[in-house]
Amino acid sequence: MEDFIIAGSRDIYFSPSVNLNAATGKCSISGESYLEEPYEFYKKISVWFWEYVKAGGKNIVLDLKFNYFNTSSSRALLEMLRVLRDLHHSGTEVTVNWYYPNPDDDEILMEGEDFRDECGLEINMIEYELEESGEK
Amino acid sequence: MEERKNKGLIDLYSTMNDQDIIVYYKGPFDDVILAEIGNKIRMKAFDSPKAGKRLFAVFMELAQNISLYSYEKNRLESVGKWGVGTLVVYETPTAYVLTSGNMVKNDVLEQIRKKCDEINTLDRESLREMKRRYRSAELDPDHKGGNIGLIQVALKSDAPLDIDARQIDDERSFFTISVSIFKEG
Repeated sequence: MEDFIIAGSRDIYFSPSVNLNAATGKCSISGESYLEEPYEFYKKISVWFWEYVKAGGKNIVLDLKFNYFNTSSSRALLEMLRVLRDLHHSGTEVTVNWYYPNPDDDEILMEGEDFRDECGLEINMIEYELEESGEK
Repeated sequence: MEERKNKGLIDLYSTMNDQDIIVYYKGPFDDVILAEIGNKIRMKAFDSPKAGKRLFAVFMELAQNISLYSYEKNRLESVGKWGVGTLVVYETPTAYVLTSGNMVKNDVLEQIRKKCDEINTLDRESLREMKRRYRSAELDPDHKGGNIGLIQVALKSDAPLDIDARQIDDERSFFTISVSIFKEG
């Protein structure tokens, strides 16, 4: 079982950084998501979760820290969260943390709450301070 | 004839200048152009960063709608993959206004109208509920978008979706949607 790593990029499309750790089950997806093929992108991550559990992985901790995603990505993200819900229901320990900035101009918290309501999986909402010097 | 065409363009440009237009684009909405205009909007230092972020999010959704769904396809390519349309962003003392326009089939226009009418009757919480309902619904396999772009646009903007259409012939109409994002609040 190998780690799954994608470096975030911002070119014609915006890809989030993905880091899925096969040894610890500690995973993160962060940054921006506007993708040419959003469903394929998040499907690959879901497949990794399945294989991780099949290989004996007992727990998954997923940190989600987005500052932008378009609606196509949000639908694909929801499908991925539902895969995690199914894994959770069949016995895997799953923790999902949703990070939202302060100030929250893009209403990232609201997006997280909507995902929580829709995917049927408990999601922890965690605030972080936005650095002033960053990009607008 | 050539002179008249130029005169028309000069008039068009003068009108746009008078209206404080920041961006005006007409043509194919391919991925490169979308990224280019999107990033320019995003990088502009807005007096209100919140309004800038919302303008960017609204631009992305409306521009992707044109890319994916415009009935008029790009004539500069042999295979017309990308939708053609037009987009204007202008500034008023209190708001940024983004208007997009593209060709749609008449029957599709009726569906869009119905959806926008429903969106415009809803408050914020009901819009969120509608978004969750649409996002959870099954989509046709060939549907490339998320089917919730217009709902997201309404959530990001401060005024009702202002839609307008002019029928071109029995098959097509030109459809526009205008969105206002206030600088304060």
